Amino acid sequence: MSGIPAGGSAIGPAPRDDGARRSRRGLLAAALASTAELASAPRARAATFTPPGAVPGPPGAGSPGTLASPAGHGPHPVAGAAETNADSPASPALLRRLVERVGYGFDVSEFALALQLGAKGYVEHHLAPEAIDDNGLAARLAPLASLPLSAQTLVELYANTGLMPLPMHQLKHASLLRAVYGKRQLLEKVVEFWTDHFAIRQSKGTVRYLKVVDDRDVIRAHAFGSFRDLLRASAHSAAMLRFLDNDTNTPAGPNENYARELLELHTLGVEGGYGEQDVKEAARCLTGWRFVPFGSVPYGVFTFIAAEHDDGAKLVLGHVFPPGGGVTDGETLIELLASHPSTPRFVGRKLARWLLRYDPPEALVDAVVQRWQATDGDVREILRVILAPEWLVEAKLGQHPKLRRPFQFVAGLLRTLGAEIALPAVWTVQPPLVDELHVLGQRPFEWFDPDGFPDTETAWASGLQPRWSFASRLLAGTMTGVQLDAGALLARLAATGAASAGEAVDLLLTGGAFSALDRSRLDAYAAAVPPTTWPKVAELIALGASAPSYQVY
Amino acid sequence: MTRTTRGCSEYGDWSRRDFLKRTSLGAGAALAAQAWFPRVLAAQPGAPSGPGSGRDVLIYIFLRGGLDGLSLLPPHGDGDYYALRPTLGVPPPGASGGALDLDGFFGLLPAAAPLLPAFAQGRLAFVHAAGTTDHTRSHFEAFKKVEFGIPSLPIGTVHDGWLARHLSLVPPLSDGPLRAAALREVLPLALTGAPRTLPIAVPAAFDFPGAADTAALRKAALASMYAAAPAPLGPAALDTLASIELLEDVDFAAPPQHGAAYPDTPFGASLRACAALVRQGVPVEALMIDYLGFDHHSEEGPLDGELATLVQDLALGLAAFDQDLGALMDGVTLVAHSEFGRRAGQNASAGADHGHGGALLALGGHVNGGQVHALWPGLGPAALDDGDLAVTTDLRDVLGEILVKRLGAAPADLAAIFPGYAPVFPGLVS
Repeated sequence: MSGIPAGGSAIGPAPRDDGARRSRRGLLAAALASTAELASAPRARAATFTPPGAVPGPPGAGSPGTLASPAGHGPHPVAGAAETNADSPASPALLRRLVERVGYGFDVSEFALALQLGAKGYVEHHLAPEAIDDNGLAARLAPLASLPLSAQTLVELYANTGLMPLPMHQLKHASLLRAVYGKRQLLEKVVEFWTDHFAIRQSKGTVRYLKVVDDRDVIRAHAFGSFRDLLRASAHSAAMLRFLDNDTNTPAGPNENYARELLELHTLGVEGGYGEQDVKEAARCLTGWRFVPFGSVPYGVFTFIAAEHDDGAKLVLGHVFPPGGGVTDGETLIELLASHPSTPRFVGRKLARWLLRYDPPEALVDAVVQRWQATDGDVREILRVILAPEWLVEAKLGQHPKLRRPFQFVAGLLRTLGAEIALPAVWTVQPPLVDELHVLGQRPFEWFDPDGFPDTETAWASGLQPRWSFASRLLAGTMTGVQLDAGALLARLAATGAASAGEAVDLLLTGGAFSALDRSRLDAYAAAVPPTTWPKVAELIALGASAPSYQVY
Repeated sequence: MTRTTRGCSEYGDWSRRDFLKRTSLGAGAALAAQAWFPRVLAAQPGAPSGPGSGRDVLIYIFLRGGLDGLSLLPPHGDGDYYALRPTLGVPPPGASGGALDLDGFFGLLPAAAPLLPAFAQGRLAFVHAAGTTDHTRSHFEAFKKVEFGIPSLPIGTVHDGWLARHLSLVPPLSDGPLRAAALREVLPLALTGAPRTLPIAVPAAFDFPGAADTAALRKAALASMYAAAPAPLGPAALDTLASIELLEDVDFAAPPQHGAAYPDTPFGASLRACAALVRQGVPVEALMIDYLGFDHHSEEGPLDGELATLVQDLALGLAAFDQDLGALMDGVTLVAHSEFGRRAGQNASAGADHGHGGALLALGGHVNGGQVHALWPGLGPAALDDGDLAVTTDLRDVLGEILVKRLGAAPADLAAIFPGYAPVFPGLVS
């Protein structure tokens, strides 16, 4: 048994007792043996890579940190998850890709669940988030006291006080906690999608309070519901009306910001068949759509101000709005946009792109549109189509990787490594991991424009140095606000039963998605810098997380 | 260290020089097969970059939010100015808090006083009533129109930046890994799609992480992995690795020259880093800085409020940069502009809402300085454009002239850089 206790939380050099020294001697030999093995037969499985502090022998049998497979298919569900049979809905490779698409990063227990339930069953499991016990996350969110509050209470407690930034910092921190620790991973992934689709920049003045309500009562409340309800809720959201200036949209001084994005970004798409005149007329429909202003009670609640509404006749997309419509002008407009044939295609394609690949097959988009129309935009039904086993196969995900966005990179790595995120001691400053996201260019709710963080390779491919730095500092244990469990990670590496150090890191980080080249480079590095102490193992893992194979999924 | 296994020998003598050769110079026939090699071949060796090369380094400062040009450069000689801005207007020269007179008609906001020496010495010029032909009052729409260089085209028709297109069309000034950088976390739209261009928020911190004793081996491992990765990831990673090496040799802590003192602000730090890159001969062609916050709907405070603070920081930074580089300004052109100006009339909250025409400035050894370039449209009711200062100098005229006269752009390429537009040079630079 190693000198590192099971579940130990120490980061740093291996303990210096005799047991550790004994095992380190043996490990050095084992590491040398495995790399020597590699030199002659890189993919041979004759030798098993054994990191320091781990138990050689039957891989994973009772090793600390090993996550038992619910399916009972052996000690580690990824060992042997070969790339063969990739076109079958039951193949481990496909299920691994499904796990990465459903959630944040590779998660060995999620993968075990996918192996047990199969692709269809796994997606069904995640389409019923209310049935997934998420008490662990709830306990982590409980200290974030601002999350359940109304805008009125938020300003009473925090506005014009030293704690003014607290609601903003807590909401951003909560986003990360949900992605890292939440069990309802697909819901979280779809929440991220809608957050970008209905993007609101939280640091714009009072939006710091209003976005807390929008995140909870608009995005999360309707993420798996009907698109029509989501759109309607967003149109009544004070955060949206403030961010896109509809609260200053008056008959005398029209402000088209919200109306324009409602058409261009939220529903029809830029090529959805509308013109400048439609934008102008839609803006007129939305005059008077306001919220109780700052300083009045109850702050941030939607209110229609008839005196600020343009009650003349309007014409949007060929639909005549008779004069005197009042608040129904806006309501009718929303119904019109939710029902417009351009909306399912624009939004449905975008959702398929988000979940599957940058260029979803056209036939899939057709199927999504069909299902959208048959179910009046029931998001759950649409997700069921996008993530159906036949489309997972047809989309050839292995040939169409997506680049992890910075938030996915950070949250995924923290989740995969079982990192322990500390509760920030103070909320007057930005939590350390939100700082990290800032440096990587994806601080939650802070894309400047209303089009949301881009879902493209080109937008993010140039920002690699901050990723390398994040991985390196996280693994080195020098990052503020987060800790790794070295003992558990060593045990998990051992439990992979991998033939080489590179393969072990690959299995730990992705369940076996690395290219043969990247794996062999990790092996070569491990041969040059043998991973015989935790710092060297950590360095190797960080190198793996910096590799091209880890940037995509 | 064990060096007996496969793959180790190639790491053994991996010096920085070799690394740079492998990653950006492409020495060695074995590398010809690498996916990124054609990119290297395309790089034509040229004259040394920067000062003395005949092509300037562009320092491109985007003043985001909608700078109020009527406060930065108050047209105190226009009788309509004070009628439109009874309390917001900057008082005429001589009055308390009055503008610093530039030419008897335009003045300078007092907070911008640090710019006066460069103006007097002819390296700094302003352009007034400048902007785009697009009339949007939305920041993000204006960013897309301006940074993509497409005020007359629909959004969605072009997906790369005007500066990116210039860099793609002009022969590289060197075969270095870093043709351009943006001092922020994500590339701005103007540089989207640019070759060998990276976001580098803090150049001094753009280092290779982790333990020093294994850094060379880890770099080599990453280089060999990313060399096989497809674009855009692979080339970006190799550029990143080589740029890390490049910037490692730059002494960002070196004291500014000629007694220059940068303000202790993010903007000051960014400009100081840019100056270090130029002074120490790092072969970059363009550096872009974002300066956020010029969006004053209420309590603009041009004399003693928020705008005064921002403009003073801007002016102190630019003055320090100019002083720091001294004679090297001969190889630098700096331009600072906003996405639009603000309404001609003040609003009820002592601010001004999003408008149209505005002011910009250019600084450099070949700027026709000491003057305000303006075809002044006037501020009378008939002269205003929907309540805004009209635009008489298109931004593309200014940027196009700088590209052709100072950055080596072929005049014929302007049609691709600014689609659907033929810039008319305003004579801002020579």
